[in-house]
Amino acid sequence: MSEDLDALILRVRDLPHDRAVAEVDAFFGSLPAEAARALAESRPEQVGPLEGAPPELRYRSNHLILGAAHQRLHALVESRDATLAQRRRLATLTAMLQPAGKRLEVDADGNRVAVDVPRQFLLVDPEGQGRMIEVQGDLRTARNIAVLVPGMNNDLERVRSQSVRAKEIGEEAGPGTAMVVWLGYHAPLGLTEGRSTESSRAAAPLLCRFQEGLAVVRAPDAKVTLIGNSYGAQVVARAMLEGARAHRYLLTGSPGVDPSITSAAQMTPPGTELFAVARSRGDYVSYAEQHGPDPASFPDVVRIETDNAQVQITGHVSYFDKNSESMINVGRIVRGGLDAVTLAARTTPEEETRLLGTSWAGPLRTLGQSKAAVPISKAYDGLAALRTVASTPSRKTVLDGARRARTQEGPER
Amino acid sequence: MYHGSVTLTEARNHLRSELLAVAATVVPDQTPTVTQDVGPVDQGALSDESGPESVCTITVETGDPTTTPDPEAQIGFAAETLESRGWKVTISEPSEGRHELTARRQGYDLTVTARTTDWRLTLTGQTPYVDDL
Repeated sequence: MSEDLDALILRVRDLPHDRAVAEVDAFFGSLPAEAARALAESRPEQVGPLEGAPPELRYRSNHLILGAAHQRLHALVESRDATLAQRRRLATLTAMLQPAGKRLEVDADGNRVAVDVPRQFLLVDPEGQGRMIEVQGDLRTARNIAVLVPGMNNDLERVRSQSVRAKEIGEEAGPGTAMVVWLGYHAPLGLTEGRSTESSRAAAPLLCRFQEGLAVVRAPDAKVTLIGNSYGAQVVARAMLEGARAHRYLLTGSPGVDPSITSAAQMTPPGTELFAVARSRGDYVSYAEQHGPDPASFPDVVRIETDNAQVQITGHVSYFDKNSESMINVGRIVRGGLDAVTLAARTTPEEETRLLGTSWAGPLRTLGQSKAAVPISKAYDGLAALRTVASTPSRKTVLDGARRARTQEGPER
Repeated sequence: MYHGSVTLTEARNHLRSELLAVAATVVPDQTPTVTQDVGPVDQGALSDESGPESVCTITVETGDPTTTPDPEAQIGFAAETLESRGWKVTISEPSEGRHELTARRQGYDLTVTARTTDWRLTLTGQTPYVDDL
C-alpha cells in the first residue's frame, strides 16, 4: 500500500492539476476505510499535504505531524538547548494542537452541551517560517466555501490572526459557510521580499492545485470564493492567470497584478460568477501599484464599497473591520448575496483630495515602480505615520464620528 | 505602544464579563458559554503591517434548544438590555432570516446575532485597539 502511495505521488506530481487530484481521489476511493486511515497514520508526511486526498485523512495526518514536531521541540526546550525562535515555535505548535473553540450543540437526550471544535489542517509545515492550511467548518457539506489568502509578514507565529479573521468572515457570511486560511506558501517577510513576485509566482500553482482539490471534496452545488488580501491579492491574481478554479474572486488592497494586466477580462477565468476588488480611501499599497496597475482602476472591474454611515475605513489595514461596508460586502459575496453588494463610485483623484488635500498617488506610483527597495519602504513608513498622525482621522476619531453618525437603520446584510 | 489606563488584558476581561452578563440576562434560564477567546491578536499582520498584538475578539453563545426561535424578540430584548447598560445600539434590517444588532460603548464593539432557523444566540465583541485604550 505504501509503495502504491509513493508511485501515485510520483505520477501525479507533474500532471495537470485536475487530473492529478482526480487520480488521488480515485486512489483513496478504492481503499477500504481502515486501510486509508492506516495509510494516513503511517505516512502522515505524504498524506497530509496531498491534494485530492479526503480531508478527514489529511486532518489526521497533519495532527500527527504537528504532534511529532511539538514533541521534538518540547524535548529540545527541556534540554535547555532551544533557541528563542524554537521556544516561540513550540508555543505556536501548542496553540495549534488546542481546540479552536467551543460550539453549543444538543446531545442525544436533548440536553445542551458545549463541544470542542477541533482545529483542522490540510497542511502543516512546521519548519522555517512555516506554512499551514486551516479549515473552519465542513468542506463536504458547506454551501459556500471561502479561501482567504493572507499577505506579507504571515509566518506560522503570526497567522493566528488570520484564523480569527476567517472566523469573523464565516460569521458574517452566515450558516453553511466553511472557511479556509490558505498559507500554503512562504509569504514575503518584509518589504524587500514583498517587492518581488517570487513568492506569488511560486504560490500560484500550489493554490491552483488546492482549488482543484477542493473541487473533488466539496458538494457539487457549493460555491467557492477566493479572497486575496494585500500580497495575498498578488498570489490570487497570479493563480487566476494560471486558471485557479473558483466561482467568485475578491482582491482587497491589491498591490497590482502584473505590468501587462490592465483589465479584469485579461485575468478572469471562464465561468467566473464575480470578480470584485476593494480599495479603501488612502490605501497606499494599492496606490503604489508596485506589481502593476491597481485592479480597482480597471475599467471593467466590480469595485465594492468599503464605507457606510457607521464605519468609514481608511488606509490598507481595515478591509475586514467589524461592521464596515467592506466586511459586510465580503459576507454578501461569500454567501452569494450578490444583488445586495454595494459598489464604490469614487475615483482615485477624489480619494486623494479627501485624504490629503493634494495628490500623492502619482509620486507613490513612481516610487513603487522604482528598483530601490529602501525608498519605497520609507515612503510606506512615512505614509503610515501620516495615516495615524496628521492626514487622516485616527481609528478613535473615526469611531467617534461613526458613533455620531449612527442611526437606527443599519445596513442591509 | 500602550499609553492608556487600561491594559489589553483588562479590556479583554471586561469584554468577556459584559458579554456573559448580557447573554445571561437575555436568556435567563441558560448558562452562556464562551466559545471563542483566543486572546490578543495582531490585526496589522492581516494586511501586511507587522506589529504588536493589539486587539481581542470574544464570542459567547447561549440559547434554549427546547424553545422555538424568536430572533426578533431576542434581538429586541438584547437591545434593551444593552441600552440599559450604556451601549449605543443599532438594529439592522433582518435579511435571509438573520436578525442582528451592533452596539458600541467606549470603543468596544459588539454584535448580537439570532436566526429564525437556529436556537443559538451569538454575541461577539471586540476590544478597542490597544492604542485607543
